[in-house]
Amino acid sequence: MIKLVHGRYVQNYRLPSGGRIDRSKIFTFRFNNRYYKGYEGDTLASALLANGINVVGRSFKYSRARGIMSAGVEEPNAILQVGATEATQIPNVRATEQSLYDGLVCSTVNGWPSVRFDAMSLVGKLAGGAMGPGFYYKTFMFPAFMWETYEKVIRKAAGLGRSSKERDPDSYDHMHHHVDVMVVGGGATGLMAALTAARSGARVMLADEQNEMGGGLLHNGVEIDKSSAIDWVNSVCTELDSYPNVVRLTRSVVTGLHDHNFLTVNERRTHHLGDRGPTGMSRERMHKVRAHSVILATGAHERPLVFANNDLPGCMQCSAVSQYIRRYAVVPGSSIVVMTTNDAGYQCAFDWHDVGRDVVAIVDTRAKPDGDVVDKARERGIELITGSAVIEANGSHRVRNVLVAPINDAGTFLTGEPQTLLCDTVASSGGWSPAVHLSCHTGSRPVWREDILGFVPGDTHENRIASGRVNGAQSLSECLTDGVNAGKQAVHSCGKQFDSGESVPPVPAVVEPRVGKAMALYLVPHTKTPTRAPKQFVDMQNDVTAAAIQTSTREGFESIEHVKRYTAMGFGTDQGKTGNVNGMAIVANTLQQSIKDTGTTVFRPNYTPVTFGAVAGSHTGALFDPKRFTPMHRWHIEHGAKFENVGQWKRAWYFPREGESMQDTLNRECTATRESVGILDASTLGKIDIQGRDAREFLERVYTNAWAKLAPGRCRYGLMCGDDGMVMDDGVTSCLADNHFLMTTTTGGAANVLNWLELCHQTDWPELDVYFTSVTDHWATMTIAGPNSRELLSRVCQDIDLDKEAFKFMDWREGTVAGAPARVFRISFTGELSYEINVPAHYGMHVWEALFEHGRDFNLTPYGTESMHVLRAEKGFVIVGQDTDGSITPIDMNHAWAVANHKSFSYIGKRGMQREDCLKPERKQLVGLETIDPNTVLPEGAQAVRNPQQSIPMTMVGHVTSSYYSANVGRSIAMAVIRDGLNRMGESVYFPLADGRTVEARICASCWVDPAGDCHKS
Amino acid sequence: MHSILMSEQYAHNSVTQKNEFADSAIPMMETALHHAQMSKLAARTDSGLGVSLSELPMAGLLVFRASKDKAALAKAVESVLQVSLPETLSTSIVGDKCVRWIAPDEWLLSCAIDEAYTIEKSIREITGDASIAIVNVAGGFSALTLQGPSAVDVLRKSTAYDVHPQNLMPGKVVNTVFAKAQVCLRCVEENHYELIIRRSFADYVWHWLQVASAEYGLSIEVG
Repeated sequence: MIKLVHGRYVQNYRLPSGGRIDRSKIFTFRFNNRYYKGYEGDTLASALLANGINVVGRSFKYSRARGIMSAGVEEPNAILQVGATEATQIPNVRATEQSLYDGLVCSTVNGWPSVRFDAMSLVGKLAGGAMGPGFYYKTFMFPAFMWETYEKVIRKAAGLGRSSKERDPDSYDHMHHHVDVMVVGGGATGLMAALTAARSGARVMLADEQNEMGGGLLHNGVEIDKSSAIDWVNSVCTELDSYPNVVRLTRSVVTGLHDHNFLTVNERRTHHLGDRGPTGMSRERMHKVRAHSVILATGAHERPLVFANNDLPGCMQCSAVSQYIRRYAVVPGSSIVVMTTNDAGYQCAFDWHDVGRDVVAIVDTRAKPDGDVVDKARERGIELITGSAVIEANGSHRVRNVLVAPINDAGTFLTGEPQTLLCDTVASSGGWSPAVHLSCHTGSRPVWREDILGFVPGDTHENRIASGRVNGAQSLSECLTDGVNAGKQAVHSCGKQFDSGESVPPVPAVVEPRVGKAMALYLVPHTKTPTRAPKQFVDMQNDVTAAAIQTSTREGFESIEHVKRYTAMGFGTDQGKTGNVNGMAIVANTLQQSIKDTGTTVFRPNYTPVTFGAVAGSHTGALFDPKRFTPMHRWHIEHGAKFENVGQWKRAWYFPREGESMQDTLNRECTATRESVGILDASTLGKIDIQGRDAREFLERVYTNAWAKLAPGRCRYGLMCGDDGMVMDDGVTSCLADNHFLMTTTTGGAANVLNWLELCHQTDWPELDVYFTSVTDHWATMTIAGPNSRELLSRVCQDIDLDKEAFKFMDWREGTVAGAPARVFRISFTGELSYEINVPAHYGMHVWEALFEHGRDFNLTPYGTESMHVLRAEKGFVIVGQDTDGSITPIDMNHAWAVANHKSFSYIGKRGMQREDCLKPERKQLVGLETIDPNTVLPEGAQAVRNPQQSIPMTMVGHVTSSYYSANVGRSIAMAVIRDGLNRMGESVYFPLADGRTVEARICASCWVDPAGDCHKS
Repeated sequence: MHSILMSEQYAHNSVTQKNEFADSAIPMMETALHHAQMSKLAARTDSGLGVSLSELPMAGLLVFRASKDKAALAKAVESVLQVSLPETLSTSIVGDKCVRWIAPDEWLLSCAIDEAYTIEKSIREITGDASIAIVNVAGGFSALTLQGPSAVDVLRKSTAYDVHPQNLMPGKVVNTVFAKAQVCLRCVEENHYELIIRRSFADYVWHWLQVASAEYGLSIEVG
């Protein structure tokens, strides 16, 4: 049991003023069982830094201490387990994305057994070589059976987070949107683009992954139109919110950009409110957006430089340091060394300097930097070391010092001896990588631009515009201009117009500094080669080093896709957002080729991890799949029915009485039906109304049997095959009028059969004049079966002549039943005298109850699908889908009588069932089975053999398709498909069962009750 | 006192037959959501919330089909109902009768339940031996209404169709997917929608709508 202690930390690293935080709202949170304080407006990462938490995890492979490196979605290290209770556990939460809330509970996922002292670190330090690149492939793939054992150890050590073992108490949902213009990213460019598009009256959606709009403007301290950029952001948002056609989403990551400009946007609605969302509010909402035009204003991620021990806590991106200071009023250290290849990196030194902390030096890798920032640094008196680089950081759980050495102009080797500088923080900037990920989701490959040292989105045939930093814009004024242009272009491509030229917003004024040329540097040279130098990390999350990438290319994995799989570079929750381009540059350099020729790996959805809850939305629990109910469902519930699923339908399965076993119930239901009368709710049967001049001809073509002579008022069993000649569906079809039929199908087959009929009509025989309409739901269908069914029907139906000569077997009549309009079909699936009463569904319950009222005199017994199965099996009636499996022809099914060979049209399945294979002897055929012991009920699916003494593998000759105990027959009965079964009546087959028994059964005709058929014709 | 559409006769064109009952014999009709006891639910909820839901009482529903002989059907519909067959995605409304376009060869008429029989009979008489189909499907569906300022948000959570008022405006009808069911969705007027769903799916859709509406405040009303 871990004792909970109040953190000894106070917010030592919090500045006394500033930041976009609300100091009046103090939140307490728990990290690794210690309590800390933060403010509203903090991210979990900024709150941890404010409390001086350096180490937030252990690395995956080498178990090295890792700290917070960035301030956004690109964070590779600060991956935490969040959740105050078992039910609310969320694995792998990026601390930089998670807003702080009161009562947040989190812990490291990688620290096993502890982040501060770690047994595994010995492995990392001493035996790191044991887990070189390709480690998984080389070690774990052989011997394969050991994988499970290895995996347990590795997974536990790597600690990839864990899911809750309990049901998630939160809800999730989806929402669809159709917009003219979708703007991805709410920084300067995105805001400008959205504002421009919105002014045309277009439907616009603007989504940003942060808790507020503004992107870099929130922390870079620039002015727009001579006032604070934040004022500009606020005024744009206010205007956007005033348009009814604009949807502005914060905390919403566009996770995927799919074909035809379909986007998935994951909105985190309650993540910042608490461990559980407020009642009635979904935790996450997946917006499914269909856009005419997409403007990608996704910005860029800063690339950290690769140098020795660059993973030590205290090594950060320059922009992240600025962001923590200005946005969260957190200064993540006391003395900093800044290394940069470009002018942008200077800003973090200025921000650090502004809050009165020690800037040890700015190390500029360029020999002669000449931008305005250089003069500013000198004015401030900051030490500027040019033409040099930080080649190595040192420390154990935090940077203690760095080695700085002069380098040549190309940045490929050292030109002098290193000097040591003491500091606790190293910020580095190697330039900016445009966030091209979304542009690649549909297959477009990004294009390298040497002038900006980054990949920009490639061509696409979709209506998409990349705008601002993602497209290579370097300055704020370029971004704002780009935004206006993108907005205008998107509006025009939607065919919309601006009311007047004045509606297009002017590009706001920005004072731009003179910017010096950046230097192309990715891997900082060291006194030793990468394989001998301390580890130079490219991908922190997967512990991929520069040396590993070089090893990979040496071992022949030269394609960037192979390097990725061999080293694991770019996998994981961050998908290599900070490291990929550095890795590609190292590959390019090693292979003496250009970055352009090296290319990138493929970026696929999702941009950031998406929870399963968001994917499922509201389609969970009772709403996972529709449940369909018959009009009499309430009655079944009230009378204790057990239900079974048949497709989406809930069908009454059996109606147990107090104290009955299921078999007792079936025996009672089945005997009551054969002795007096039973009733079945058959409303779920598929029913298709077929009208049109060619309705009859159509039936001739889709059924295997003949329909030419079926007169109005008559019904016929119909058998339907697929093109392959295999039985597909069956049912009774009735002739309502010469050109009007009612087809019935199996419950599960209804939708497929309707689709099949439409397919045949629309693609094969469009010349036939015929219409199909589903009337399954329109008719409530109740089957009364048994010798007393005529008598019962006569009590509730006066306008149909029920005389056995006037209303024969396989006739149908219309009339009224219990006052409701009805079609009554004299058909039988039990072999008994039977009527199928169909009334419009809204009368179903009324008629059902009326039948019971009159049925008391006849012990009218409701039976469910299970008794229906037994009763039909007693007569050998098949159920398509149970006794057939898609490999059974009508002949195999012993239904040769339902195949007409002399129809004028070659009906569907005719050629199929005449294929050589279908005609050969010894096919499996449907037969009856009687076990030698009449009380043994064979399990359905049991495999038959002819010789039970044969050694394994035995020759299997078929299997049991239906098997029951029949109270009416007084023994078990079964149906089976047995090879050559129809020619082997009386022979025995054997069923070796899983429990060791072997059951002997004799092949017989599959009809046990009334073989002459007197009952149903009576 | 009402009359009921009877199943078709044996005549060449399936002319329907009317049956009349004495009042005492009128059978009890149940809508798909009869068991939900709407009046009790309505009494328990506030009104004037973001969304209100109700199930409409039983109505007559006829499916009309025609392709080659569409002109004959259109003429008969005009003569019997005094409305033209609606064009793609639109409706024709006269009084309590509404004809909805469903597909290029299919329409759906709703009317008073006791009128369906005469309408079918009259249209069949006029179309003679033209090749059309008319199917009475009154029992096959449940009609719901969804109203209120947040009704469109509930629809956005339920269907991929573009339900923005600029696209789904009063008088427009569309057959589309709704959660995992099917719907014939009509905009009656601003913030007022009619949903016709298959009867056996009514409980599922009702449950779905309650969940989707909860955040906006849901009132149940008697249709």
